[in-house]
Amino acid sequence: MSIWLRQIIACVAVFAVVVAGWPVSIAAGVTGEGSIHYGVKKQLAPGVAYYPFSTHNWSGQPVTGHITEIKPGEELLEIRPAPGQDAVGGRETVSNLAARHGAVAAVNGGFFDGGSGNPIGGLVVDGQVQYQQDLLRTSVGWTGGGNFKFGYFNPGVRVLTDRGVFAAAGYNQLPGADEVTLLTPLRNTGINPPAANTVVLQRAEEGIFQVVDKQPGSENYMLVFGSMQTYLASSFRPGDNVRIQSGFGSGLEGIEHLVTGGPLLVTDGIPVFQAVSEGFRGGVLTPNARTAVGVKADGNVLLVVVEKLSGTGDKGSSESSPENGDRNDGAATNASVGLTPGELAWLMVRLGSAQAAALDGGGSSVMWADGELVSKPSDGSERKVANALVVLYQVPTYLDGRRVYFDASPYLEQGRTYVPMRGLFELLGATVTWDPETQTVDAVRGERVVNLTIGQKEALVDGTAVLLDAVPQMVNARTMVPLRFVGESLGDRVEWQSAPKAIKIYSSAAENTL
Amino acid sequence: MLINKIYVANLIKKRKLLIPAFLGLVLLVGLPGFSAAAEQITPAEQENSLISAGSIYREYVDTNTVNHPLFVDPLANGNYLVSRVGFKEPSVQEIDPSDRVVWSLDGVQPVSAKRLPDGNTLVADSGAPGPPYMPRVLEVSPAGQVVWEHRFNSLAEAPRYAEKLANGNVLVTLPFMIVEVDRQNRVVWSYGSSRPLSPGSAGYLEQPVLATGLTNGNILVVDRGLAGGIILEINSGKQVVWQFGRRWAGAESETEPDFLAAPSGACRLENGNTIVADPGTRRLLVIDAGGNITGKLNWTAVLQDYPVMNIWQAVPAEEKLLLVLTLANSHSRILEVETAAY
Repeated sequence: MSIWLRQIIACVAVFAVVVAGWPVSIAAGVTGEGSIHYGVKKQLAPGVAYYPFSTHNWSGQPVTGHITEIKPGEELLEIRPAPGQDAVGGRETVSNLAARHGAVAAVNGGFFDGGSGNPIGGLVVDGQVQYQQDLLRTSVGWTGGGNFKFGYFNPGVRVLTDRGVFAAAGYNQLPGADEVTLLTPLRNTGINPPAANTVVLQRAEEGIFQVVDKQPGSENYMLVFGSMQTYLASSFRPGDNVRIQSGFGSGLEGIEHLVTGGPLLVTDGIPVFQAVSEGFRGGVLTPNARTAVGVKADGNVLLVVVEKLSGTGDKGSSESSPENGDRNDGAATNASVGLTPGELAWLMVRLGSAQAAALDGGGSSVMWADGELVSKPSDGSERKVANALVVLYQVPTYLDGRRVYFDASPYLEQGRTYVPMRGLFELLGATVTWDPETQTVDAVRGERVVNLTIGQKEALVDGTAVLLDAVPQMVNARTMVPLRFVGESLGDRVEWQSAPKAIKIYSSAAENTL
Repeated sequence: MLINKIYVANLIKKRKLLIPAFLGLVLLVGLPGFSAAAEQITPAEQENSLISAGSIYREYVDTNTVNHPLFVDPLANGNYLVSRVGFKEPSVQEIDPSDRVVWSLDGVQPVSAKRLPDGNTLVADSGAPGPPYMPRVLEVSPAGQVVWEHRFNSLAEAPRYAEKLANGNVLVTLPFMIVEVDRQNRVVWSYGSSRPLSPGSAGYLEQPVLATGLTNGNILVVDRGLAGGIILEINSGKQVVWQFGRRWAGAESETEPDFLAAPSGACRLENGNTIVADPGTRRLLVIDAGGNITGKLNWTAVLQDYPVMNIWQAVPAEEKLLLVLTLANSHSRILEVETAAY
């Protein structure tokens, strides 16, 4: 074969390979949505990392987002739902919820009614159903340690008493005439059932309550009987024991927390397209900002937020603030065009999810990490939402049996537990003042006066010197003091629980009442 | 690609290869098949006959907002068999021309329902939340008794459509696969995979929404796709023997006449033509065996007075078109639009 002929054949072959390569790359770009580019990973706490990402949708348009990845199993690591204003029906920004819980990361939670603020679907906190609407949508349930399950929330809460067994017909709502509902400490303060229909309960231990004869306080549960069952309410006596048993539906066994989102996005590592069957329609099916939670094969949890940055395109929308409209394909100039539910399902698969479901999206979608909002809300400003998922790395603290949170979380250092002085002292009823010139903190409760200075081991309690076992520290503009000092200074009982680690404080005011 | 670029650049540096390279390029461009890379292929458009847009001659008004019609099977008796989905009370309902519900089936998440010649109803249940929370296909008697059922193992195998074939087997459209199931619940034929395949691989289906049996024994598949749909005719040997449509390949592809944005249905006529309904571009197309568009109808004008939020389905049939919509106020409509004969 002549040299010329060989050269011609070689050139044809080269050009053919170059040309044939183009359709393949285009096809890969459509079905694979383009590759995912990850930003710098930041460790927020042991087992918690944050990183941004960018990619493209099926039409090649740019998409940006954020991921908090959580490796369950770390001691002191916890994922919880945080209801807005600490009440069903309350609304609060994710930033605020995250900050006052001392969270290391947070995302928005389940769908909610824009008018009432009530969840659309269900809410479970610490194993107790707080709200429920029968809705054929995917709910996201999980244990505090980060074991997530996705399923249909179909709770059955039974109230076992000596008067019989009642099935709660609702939670944090008033009952119908022949119904019984359960009000929890997360009830909206606007719910005031008639005293004659109400049995006030005090939690005695897990799942067991005692009937008490008192005006219901914020810590009490209540059984509320409908108008046709008032006679049942009056049959209860103080001291009666009531047991509350909760089941959450097939596939959600063992969960401690739950919000309702939807649709289901991934199962067994395969994308699922269930949005229409779960009743989503209109603008919710168009490209939007999104929030999703996924579980990888190794058990790591992914909290994912996809942005829709405002530009020439249509606004983001969500069930929580319905704005229906047709898809605007002219949004090509957006820096992030958002995703449809189907595209979100594929994204979660590509991020490594074996299971995944969507949470509320559109203007509700935000991520907070390491002290700041890392995502840009599609509405331009943060929306107040009904609840958030907060990621905590802190020693759980309880006051008179109730979990409390601080914007500066308690922590352990060299075998000592440090707690925020202002947060805890104010919770115990003290007035706290800070003098930046002298670096001195003063706390007054009744006739008790406590003074301490940053960097000095000696404090004054009613003028008497008290030696702290460790020097108070200033962390993020918060005075952190050794836990033991709290009890010694105000006279409240402080207990340190070593397994699982927890701080338990019993106020002298509550103990005197008992 | 990078290696090719480097090699080509080095070749061109050698001047004595310029002439062979030029000749090679000429040959390449001239070879059949490779012109696909150099220019867009468009189906030869003959003198298309524009199908009359027609008028709405029947309208079903649905004010239910907790669920909505998703799929409608127009029955020979003039009734509609409606698959209703939503976050509450999904069901199958048979609705007569007076808008009365004359039959219903609850406890299902129906994405399609087809009335069978013997009066039974074949339902594809997606397994979406709600009892029984299980993806399956079931055949139900007029009395509501389940006379046959085939369950799928995972929500990743949620059926999208099911119909009974002439041989009595059931053809089921799954997310990435078409299966034929016999009465003993054995999968006797399949195309695709239970897991997503790579684009271009044998059996690749991107997002099939409907597979229907043809009289020649083949099946016609509507693959809505992720960005651009394709209609495929597949024989029992799993070969694609006919197809129409194109995948998205840049914004300009969306203006091509054979670009189907979101096809929802297709049927083969006796004359061998295929009607395709594409709610994504609000078009009905008639395509001949050669892949040429011989007729088209755009129904945008028909809907001009409706604040449409979603078009769920467009059912092509001879001389009529059925549109299943939800409006901006969350009410729904089933519209029958008359069209000329194809």
